[in-house]
Amino acid sequence: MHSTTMLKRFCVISLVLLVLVGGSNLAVANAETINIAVPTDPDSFDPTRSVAAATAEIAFNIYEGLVKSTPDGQVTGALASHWEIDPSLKIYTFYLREAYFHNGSRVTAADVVNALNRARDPEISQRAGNYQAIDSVSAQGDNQVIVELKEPYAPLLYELTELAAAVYPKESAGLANRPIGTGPYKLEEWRPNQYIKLTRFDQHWSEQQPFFADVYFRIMPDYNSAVVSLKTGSIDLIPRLEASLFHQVQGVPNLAVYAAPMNLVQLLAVNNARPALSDLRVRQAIAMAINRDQIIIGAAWGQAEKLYTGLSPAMPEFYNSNLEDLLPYEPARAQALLQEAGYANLELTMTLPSAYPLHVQTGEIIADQLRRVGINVKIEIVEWGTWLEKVYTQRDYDLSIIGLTGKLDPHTILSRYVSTNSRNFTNFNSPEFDRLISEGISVSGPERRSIYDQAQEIMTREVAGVFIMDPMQINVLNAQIKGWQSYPVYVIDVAALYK
Amino acid sequence: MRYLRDRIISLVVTLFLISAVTFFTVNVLPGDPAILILGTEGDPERLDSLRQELGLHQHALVRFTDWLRGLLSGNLGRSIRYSVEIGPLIRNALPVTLLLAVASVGLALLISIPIGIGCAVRQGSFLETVSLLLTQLGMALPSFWLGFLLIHLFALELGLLPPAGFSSGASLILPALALAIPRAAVLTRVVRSSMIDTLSQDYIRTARSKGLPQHLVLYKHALKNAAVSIASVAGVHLTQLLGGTIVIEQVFGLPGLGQLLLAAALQRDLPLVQGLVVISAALILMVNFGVDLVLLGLDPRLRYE
Repeated sequence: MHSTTMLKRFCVISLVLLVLVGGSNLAVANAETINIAVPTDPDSFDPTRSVAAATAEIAFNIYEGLVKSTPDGQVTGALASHWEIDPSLKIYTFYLREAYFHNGSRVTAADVVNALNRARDPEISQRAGNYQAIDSVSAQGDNQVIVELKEPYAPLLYELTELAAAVYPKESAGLANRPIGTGPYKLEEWRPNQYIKLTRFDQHWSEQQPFFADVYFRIMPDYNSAVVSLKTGSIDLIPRLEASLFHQVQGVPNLAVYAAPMNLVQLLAVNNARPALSDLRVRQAIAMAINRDQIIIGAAWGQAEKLYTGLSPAMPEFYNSNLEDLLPYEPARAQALLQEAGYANLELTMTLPSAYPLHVQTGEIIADQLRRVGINVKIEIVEWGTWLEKVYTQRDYDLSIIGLTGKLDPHTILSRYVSTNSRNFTNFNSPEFDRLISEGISVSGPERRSIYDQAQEIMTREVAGVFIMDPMQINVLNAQIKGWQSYPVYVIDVAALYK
Repeated sequence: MRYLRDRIISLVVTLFLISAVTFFTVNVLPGDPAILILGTEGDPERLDSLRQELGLHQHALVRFTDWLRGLLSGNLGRSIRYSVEIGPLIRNALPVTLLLAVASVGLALLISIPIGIGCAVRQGSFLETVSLLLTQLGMALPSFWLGFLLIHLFALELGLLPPAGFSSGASLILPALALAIPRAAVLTRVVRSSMIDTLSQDYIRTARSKGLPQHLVLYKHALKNAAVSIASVAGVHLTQLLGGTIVIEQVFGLPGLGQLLLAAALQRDLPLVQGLVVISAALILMVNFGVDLVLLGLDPRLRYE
């Protein structure tokens, strides 16, 4: 029996070893700890560098700008307690409140000036383009910051809510992985592919301290395992769950589901510069061949709102809801238009980004719908890096599907389709649209709304792209956790959560 | 000694070739890191200066020799994706993959040796038929699917083990099992056939006729001889796993080399891809070397070839 005991001993030892070796890193279950599943690591915590939406939703808890967004898409004070706008609409004076950085130093006007000047410097900031309306930023004393604009610019306050305009200490380096902000949470540890740990910042200016002391954003690339982890209690929150998993969390007793429009505009990008597609009739035929209801059921499991414009209904103040009948789903008319344009047998290629199953599935359904009106669509699925280079940067494509993340101000979203904009990857070219967009920044109130109503009508009628849907953001929480707030931008407001 | 020297030379040459091939392949792939960093929201105007910052304006050959020089001085450079030194990134991920690979092959051996021997001893029995059927099934099951089944059974239904993430050694049990089962199936067949082979040899008959008890004949004489082919197949599996646990790491959310490599490749983080490929290749070559040494120890005949 000697060797069987040996074998047994070997079994036991190896199992014990297996348990011990990893045991050093045991997560402590604590009432004041919250575990949040996110699919990828942030790109960079340096506000001048980061462009990823995944970073912004975590960084919302770490950094603050002069102002921040509210769940209903409005702007409220953050580091600035209040502000004044000069009647010329060109001078903004921000009054700073008493606030501290995570390193303990007091926030001064000089820090704000430095951060904003870096944010608008094209040599430094990845998002400098959004701040070109600013002429100068200056400090008056320690507690006042004056922003002077070249021209009146209505989106300014909204753009100051972005991570790119966050404030950090004047003398700071290495923010990419050691962020120093003023938010309710500070970064404790970042282990790539594993977790980002935040801890409560006790010197935060708000009167009410957040409930959770420790926050783990756990990197879980597979949503299936994240859902199981949520059900077994090792994860407390999955923001933006894939729609295909909705049925797995719906009606589960200990889970709470919050669905809201994502403010993401999914569109069929139509390259307006391609010979056949430069013919308006062909673009309109494509738009009228598309059945959005079918797509939303087939690709988004019914969890989305139909779109007929480049803005999402998540922005009720500016969303033009009267465009549904402009180019309705009418395959017969689509076919007639194609005949008329002399493209009865059109061949097009649709390039789809494999990283986004929603867009790939949408593309497959659309290809089928287009075939029914006589457009032969060849599908080409490429990886994200290739998509960005070929489709987005070189604009070498016929058709594609992509989602553009929403912002709080319509200008930030719609200016992309201005003919001279470097991000106008559909090559849309309408002088009338260009004129409206440049007018929209200097007016306010109903006048501004009417300008964007017209602009949206033009981009839909002249088919800058075919706007398909705004998918729902499906946020799932352990039902014990209360206080979830869905934002129309990428935000996970951990400070609002409690048990 | 000469053997050792030859092995080391071939190891260095292989590593060099592997890193050169990876570097130039990743280089010609479409999509450059600067474009990926900017995504759909960054300013395209930033592209040129970003390329400059990342050193992408230099010729590929210059970048490759710079990288090699760094490597020789033990510096793997900085990751573009994570903006940190590559050394510590790999150091954190390496133990996860290493443990996972070793545990999977270990588990596979633990499962396959007793079953394989059982089948060899009782040829034609009901046990053998069932085992062979199960191995057929085991070989056909993809690991990631097994992973989902195991998560559902052990984590969701029974609540015994963590479903995903890496918090303790227990986190590795399910992924190791998912990787081990298909391998155990293959190994069972190897154990069985090499044991059948060995058991028909003359010296086994001699051992039996000496009156040695069955377990001594099996485990001392026969298994030792059969171990040569078992060890070489197990070695192949180990090397495969060192470079190929990407899918299982995704499914179980394990922070191993596979996940790091995937993130690096998708983001065209060339320095990180290079570092990972060289480290994994070195590891695989070393394991191969180790397996060779074990085989030498097991089979004296190999020493004279």
